[in-house]
Amino acid sequence: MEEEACINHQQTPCIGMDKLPLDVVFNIFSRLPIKSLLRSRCVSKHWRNIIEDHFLANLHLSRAVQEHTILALDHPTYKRKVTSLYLVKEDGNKNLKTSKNPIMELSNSNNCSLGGSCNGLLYFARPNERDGVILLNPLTGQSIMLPPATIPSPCPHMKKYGLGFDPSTNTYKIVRVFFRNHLDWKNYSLGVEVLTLGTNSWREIGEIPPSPMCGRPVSAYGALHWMVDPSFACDNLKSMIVSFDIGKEVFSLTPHPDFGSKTCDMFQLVDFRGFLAMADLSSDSCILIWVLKDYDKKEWVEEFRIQIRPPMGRADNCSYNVVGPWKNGEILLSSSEGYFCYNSKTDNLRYIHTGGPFTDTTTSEVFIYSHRGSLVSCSSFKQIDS
Amino acid sequence: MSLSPSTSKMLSLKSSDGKVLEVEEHVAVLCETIKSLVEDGCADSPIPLANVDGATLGNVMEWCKKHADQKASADDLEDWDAEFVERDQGELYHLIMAANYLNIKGLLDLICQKVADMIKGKHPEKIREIFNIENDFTPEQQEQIRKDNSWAFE
Repeated sequence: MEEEACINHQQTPCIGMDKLPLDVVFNIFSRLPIKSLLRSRCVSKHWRNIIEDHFLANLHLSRAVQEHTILALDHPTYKRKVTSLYLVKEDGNKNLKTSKNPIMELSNSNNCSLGGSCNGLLYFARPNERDGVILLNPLTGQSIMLPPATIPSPCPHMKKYGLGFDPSTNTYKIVRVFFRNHLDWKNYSLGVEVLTLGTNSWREIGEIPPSPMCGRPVSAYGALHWMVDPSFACDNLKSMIVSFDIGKEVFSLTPHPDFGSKTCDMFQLVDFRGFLAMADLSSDSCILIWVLKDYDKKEWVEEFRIQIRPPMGRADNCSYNVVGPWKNGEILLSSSEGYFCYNSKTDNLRYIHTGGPFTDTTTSEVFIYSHRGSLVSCSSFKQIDS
Repeated sequence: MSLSPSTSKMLSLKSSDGKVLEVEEHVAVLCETIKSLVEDGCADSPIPLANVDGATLGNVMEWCKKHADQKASADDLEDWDAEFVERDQGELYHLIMAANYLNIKGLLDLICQKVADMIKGKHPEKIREIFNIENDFTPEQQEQIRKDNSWAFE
């Protein structure tokens, strides 16, 4: 009668994770923030095994509670050859600050550029494509090198990588879009290669995007979404958004809301808590953020209308960027004037002071990126040594 | 078969320690396990629940009764639930096991969230103390885990 002993009030009653069914244990742990989980790995070996289980990582992803973290990337300078990743937080004095220590450092990462992220995994492309792509989970600190792309391109700086997830098969894929010939604005030829994570080789697919793309893709609804590159966009292009279905491996144009302007560089795609959002930055008086609520029906909803007013807009010709969701339902915006927070519930707009590496002039290359943290492990995609 | 509140048909539930509880059918069917029995027409005699003791069954049915009440507002339920989970670990453990066995998703999620809240933000030493867990790591292993993700210990 072991259970009886547990409710016997003579002894300390306790919930033993080893006595609960495993799916209940995962249910409990999937409700914890990542910081709590990583710290709880040192409670006992049993707890560590639960927390490192892939099943928990997937369940944790599916919960809406997963935190939206903002990362600061401190790129290498001539003095330092390391890319440092920090967590960004707002302290009690309403200053934007980075964690004291970097959460991760990438050595020999000169000229590496952040390609984007998907389900808590970040990937960095190297300038020489033969060096491969770095895949990492900044919160767990794991990183691996993916095999290099196979088809050479005469203009490697124009390549686009995207990491996406197909929920129907639980598969991650990296897609690479490259130029086959030297750059010619009218007469170019694109090629596409895909690497399914966990396999050893890239494979070329017959599909190509309707237009070259720019910026980082947003991963949502089992697809990747890019803005079309305005330098190539022809007038009759039906949409500004190129999407790539990860499962079917096909490109399409995703219709976007009807905007007054069609100048691609006045718009921005944002990952908004798992939804694709499009920010209209073309107006001097307000920033509009539309969210694609239903991908199948292509239903866009105007979610936020942020009037540009003091403390914003003091500088002339200041351009704004949407960084991403911030705590308490706020939205973080950046501009040459600094950082701002918008609260849609109270319509409050506030300026945030910056501190730490932000103000350190020797490291001017600080860049902040909105990222949804996860426990997804990249070590399971590790190649068998060839 | 209608499961609406207007049919105030009663069901008898028999706990593992032989206690019989009379419960309105529309309340008891919040348990998916009992709902299937009712739908299959196997719910006439007292339903034996071999894995749930009388005290726990009483608590579970109290929760079901509140949640079957269609007049209760969402805010009201939230406050009531917060009070409902204020129990010692022994009772919470039995409620989890019962909610899992009787397949009551709402109650199971509620208690799992309560247990998660007991863990959230606590240091490993405190967690071991609360749940009476033995530390089976060597100091070196412990140090390595801290090093792996030092930001989480800041």
